[in-house]
Amino acid sequence: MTVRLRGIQVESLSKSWGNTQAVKDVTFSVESGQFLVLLGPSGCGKSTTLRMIAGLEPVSGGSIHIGGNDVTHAPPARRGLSMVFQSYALFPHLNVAENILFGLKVRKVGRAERDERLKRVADMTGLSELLARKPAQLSGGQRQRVALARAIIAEHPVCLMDEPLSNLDAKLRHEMRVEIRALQQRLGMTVIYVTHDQVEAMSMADKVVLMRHGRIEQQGSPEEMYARPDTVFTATFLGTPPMNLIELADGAGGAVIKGMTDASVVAAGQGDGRLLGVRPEHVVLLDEGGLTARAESADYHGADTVVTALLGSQRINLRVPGRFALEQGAELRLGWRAEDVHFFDFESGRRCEQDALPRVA
Amino acid sequence: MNVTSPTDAVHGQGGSASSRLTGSRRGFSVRSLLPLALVAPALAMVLLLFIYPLGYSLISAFTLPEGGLGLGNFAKALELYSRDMVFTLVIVSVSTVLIGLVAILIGGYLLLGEQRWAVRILSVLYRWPLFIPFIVAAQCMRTFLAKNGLMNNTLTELGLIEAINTTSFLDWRGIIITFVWKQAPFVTLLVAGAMAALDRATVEAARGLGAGRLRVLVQIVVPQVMPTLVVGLILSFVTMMSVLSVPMMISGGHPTMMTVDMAFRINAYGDYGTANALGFFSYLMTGAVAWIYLRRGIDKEGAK
Ligand SMILES: Nc1ncnc2c1ncn2[C@@H]1O[C@H](COP(=O)(O)OP(=O)(O)OP(=O)(O)O)[C@@H](O)[C@H]1O
Ligand SMILES: [Mg+2]
Repeated sequence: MTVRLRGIQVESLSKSWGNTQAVKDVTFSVESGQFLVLLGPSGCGKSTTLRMIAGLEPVSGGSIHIGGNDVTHAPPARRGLSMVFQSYALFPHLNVAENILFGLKVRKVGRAERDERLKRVADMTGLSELLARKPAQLSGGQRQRVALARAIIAEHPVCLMDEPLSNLDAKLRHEMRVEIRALQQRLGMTVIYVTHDQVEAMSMADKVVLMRHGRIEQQGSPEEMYARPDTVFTATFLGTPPMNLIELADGAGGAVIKGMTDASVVAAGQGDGRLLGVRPEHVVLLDEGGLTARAESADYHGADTVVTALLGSQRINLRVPGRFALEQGAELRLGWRAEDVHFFDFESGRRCEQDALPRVA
Repeated sequence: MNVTSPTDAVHGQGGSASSRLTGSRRGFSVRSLLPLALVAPALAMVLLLFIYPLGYSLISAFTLPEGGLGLGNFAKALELYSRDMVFTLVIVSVSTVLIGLVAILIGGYLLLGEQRWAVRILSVLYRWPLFIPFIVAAQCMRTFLAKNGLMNNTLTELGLIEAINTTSFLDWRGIIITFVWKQAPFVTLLVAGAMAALDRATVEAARGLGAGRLRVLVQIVVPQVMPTLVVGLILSFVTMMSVLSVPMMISGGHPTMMTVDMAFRINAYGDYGTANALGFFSYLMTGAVAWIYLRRGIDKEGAK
């Protein structure tokens, strides 16, 4: 007997159609009440994974347990979960109330209880005024709420969401992100949420599973993944602008930045075949010392400015608070703290341990 | 009615477009004549091949054999053939309902079926009758449904019925079977197309919410393809009202369908008056169906 009676366990899950293998050996688990985000670029197999968990797609291999039960081959309705689709999948011929209540009617929940639950869910999602409308008469955000209401009225402990916010504009997306997260915590739902938007992943997730070409690249809390990426892919997928990756070369006394004439040593040991990674917000402007770079352009974002500079022939981004008065071609002195630096193997893209030299800071 | 509305629409558009272009409503420009020139040939064809014969037969229906106008032909048609009119209406209505059911079932299985191979075979097979003319279909059914036809022989061979107890299906049942066999594929084709165009996620969502396949079909899929289904059924209704070969070959005696009666009035007596009066009644029936459909459409628009 294992103790993991609740939550969801996915083990060695795989899926192929003919010769295309969409999902390969995917293993992860979600604890009860956790918010897990499946993240990755388009076509990496996120939806396929979610659909297998939902029971909408038969698995080619592996197993799925929900709440301790093996549901690998169970039909969707037996899995005790609800799903929110990217297209919302509202029933166009039914009004909002009928859409929300469909599942309860199927399960023959009594009228009084139905009405009571509808009222509660409609209040929660701000749909009380719109119950008589057809989906075609709603805005994108309102449709999204109906899809959400239809999922949560079932009171299933597990909810799966496939890019539920991708059809909304930036502002509404932000609001809904906060609302969904609040709702999930209030109801104590276990959520698996698919997105290709790393901002959504970082802001909502308890745990992120990053996928690439059908495999899991890395999984962990957003903080862990951001602070200690295992691969170049993870390092550049999380964060905007992404982590700077600077090619190193062997120099006298350690690794130096490739192509820089006044080669100061930035790390102990090997330089050839290595990449140095440092996030834009960790690069600081120094008054003296550090590495000399040439300012190239500045991108003003309001709260801060992303400055692009040339370090030898390699580009580097740095984040500077407020507005930055750029003088093109001006000389900048850049530095970073040793603990903010990552090293990767150029060939494999994997993280390697190496000591950054503190004197660069 | 058929003729005026499209031309009105075209004319209206042409007029406003040209006035926008010239900035004035006065006089004819070449531009404002262009739409008319484009529509004219089609309009002439409709007038020549449809309106003129229709008007002619209407007049003929109201023209008494001894000359002058009157309702004599209608009285005669009602007196001789009122039973056949009811028979026709019942047969075509029952067939329409059955066609609808068959189309929904086949289309539904094509959409929701889980046996891949069965779905594939069915999707090829169901279209066959589409390519068979009515008269050939009727001939096939004759050999199939007769007292010692293929159906009864097979049933007897299988020991399901006694040879003495076989009955011929070559009556109203035969007509209905032939109509359904011939027209259901047509409606299925339309309905299956509409079903394939649905957002599949609505089906998945309903299944995920616990609905069985039949419920998904009835409550989610069919309501969404209803407009297409109704159009297909109306077209079938009109087609069946006008088919002569099937009732003629399967059940030509009494009671029979109005098309047979019309052919009989003309061939045996040269009685165009009564034939046209019968035609007028069948036009009323199809007209009523079309009206129900149009009204439904308007109600829907109103609801939006
Ligand atoms: N029914 C199918 N038949 C064949 N291949 C499929 C099928 N569905 C998906 N695939 C393939 O599987 C791979 C993963 O698809 P999936 O939909 O899971 O990607 P995704 O990560 O959700 O991408 P997106 O962010 O664009 O939605 C893709 O290469 C896709 O072409
Ligand atoms: Mg997807």
